[in-house]
Amino acid sequence: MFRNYSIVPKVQSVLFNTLRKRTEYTLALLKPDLCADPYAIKAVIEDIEKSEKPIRIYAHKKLYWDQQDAELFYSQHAGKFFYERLVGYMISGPFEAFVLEGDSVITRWRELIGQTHPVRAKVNPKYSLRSRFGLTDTRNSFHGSDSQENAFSEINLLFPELLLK
Amino acid sequence: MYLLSKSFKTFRSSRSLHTIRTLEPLLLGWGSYLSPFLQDSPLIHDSDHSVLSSKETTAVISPSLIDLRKLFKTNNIRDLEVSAVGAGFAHFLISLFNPKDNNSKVAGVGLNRFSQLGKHTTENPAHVLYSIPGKVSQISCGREHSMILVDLEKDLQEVYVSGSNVYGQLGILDSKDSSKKHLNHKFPLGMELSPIRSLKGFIDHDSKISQISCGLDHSLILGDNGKVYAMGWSADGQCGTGETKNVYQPSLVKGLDNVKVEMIGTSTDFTLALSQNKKLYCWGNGEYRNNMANIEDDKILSAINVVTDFGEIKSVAAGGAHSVALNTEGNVFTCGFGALGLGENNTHFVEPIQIPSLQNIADIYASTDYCLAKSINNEFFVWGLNNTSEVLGIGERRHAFEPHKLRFDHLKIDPEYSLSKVALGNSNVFLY
Repeated sequence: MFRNYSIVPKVQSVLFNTLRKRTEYTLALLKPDLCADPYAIKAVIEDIEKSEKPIRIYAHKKLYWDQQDAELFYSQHAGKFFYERLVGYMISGPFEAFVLEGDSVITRWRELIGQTHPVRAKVNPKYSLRSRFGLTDTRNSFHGSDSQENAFSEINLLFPELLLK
Repeated sequence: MYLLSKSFKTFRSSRSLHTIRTLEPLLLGWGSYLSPFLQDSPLIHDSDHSVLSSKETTAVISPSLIDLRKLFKTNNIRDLEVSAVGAGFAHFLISLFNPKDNNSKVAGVGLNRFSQLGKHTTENPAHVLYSIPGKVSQISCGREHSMILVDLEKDLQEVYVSGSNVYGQLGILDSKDSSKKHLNHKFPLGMELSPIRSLKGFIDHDSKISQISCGLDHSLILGDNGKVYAMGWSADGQCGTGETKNVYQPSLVKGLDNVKVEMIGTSTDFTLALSQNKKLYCWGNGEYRNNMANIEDDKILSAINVVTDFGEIKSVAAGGAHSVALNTEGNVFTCGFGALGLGENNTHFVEPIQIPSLQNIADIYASTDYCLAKSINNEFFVWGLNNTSEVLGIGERRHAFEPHKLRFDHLKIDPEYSLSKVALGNSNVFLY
């Protein structure tokens, strides 16, 4: 298991581009409510590492957005009813961003985090990260890219050093 | 072994001691960060903060007696009073009042990223202790902030706040600060305990504060003049100011002209308010039609009147996606989404519906995902969605889709005690 995920050496960027034809990448965010608790971050990483089919943590960094950063990241949602509160929530504290790598990792990460709305995820008997850690519909603790295209653009935005093309 | 259970035994074995016996303050609790503070848990050392680990590993799964000696790191708790308790997303504050010197000691435990416990710490989670002059009479905690109401002499009061002020939820910002684009970047460690000095300018000179209440990211103050003041996050109308902009200083909730509010209930993103003439009002998030108004608005930006048909309302409480109301006949009504107390297959009601299994209820309380009811016979019932903090206190990690009666028999509580006050949070419940 690849554990030294906090540093991304430059040579890996090349590897990244080479590998991306055979594997899949997604952007995972552990949002500010969850990151208030250092033990919750550890527990999520453990969950990722013990997933049945391996998910590799390819890159990892801590972020702390201001209004403009959040508006840029969520620009595709501008105008939607939840946009203002999503932006407000994301600037409420530091949080963690991960690039995850693995077969079908986009769908698998979204399955692991569960339903968008934590209250619905909790009523659902199936285990998910949101049923365990999610707080409210707004403070839903996790993000996962929803398509390959969005994964690339989101990773490029938050991990420009990976030079994903 | 500690004196509470000892004195109970003494009372039973030797009645002559009864007259000289003094009761010690009593605090029951369950949920996260409590395992080091139980009466039978191993002693923690003065310097040992690291004993607080994850929410899960420190969770106490059923009602337990909290050892105030361990919590306040003192042997001297006789004649003191647990005067207020507040529990938030993942932290709690407890005050122990000493009438002899008119001083309150506060113990804060839990997450402390933004100094929501009142003092900055390098550890997170942490355990802090400090003193406040006067009698702490109410505490309320949000996601990462806290509010403390202190009664001073001669009818004077002070409100202290601490924690994250990113949305203005502490209400202590002066106007030039609010133009700064990111408040938590400016104050990266949050705010340590400070009084809201501007409050006197907002609240009528001759009125007192009768209630303080925190949502997850907003704060409310109710005056005994019946006016409600709000500050903090308002993206869903939480502050009732008619807008979705953050509110940085205590501001009057709109839509309550000529209404005198008697009680407010908020825990998450919406508020229920009961007027002195027993009319119901709501504002804030309404996505699950959780506010008893049964209207489609996801955000209610200023207070609206809610017409109900279940008799005279005695008390109201607001959760995250659900609400509860109690009528003067002791019946409980609920609406919204979640484990509503009506069974596993009845998780969404847009109009208030009675929870038939609850009768003779004296008071109701709600947190984001669950509720608590106290009966006129001092029985406690809990229902809702459980979590890693084991916040339901039912001894097992499952949801309670129906009200569950909590048992305290094993605790051998002195019959002279009555548990009259309740504090609910996302990770803890306290009775005292």
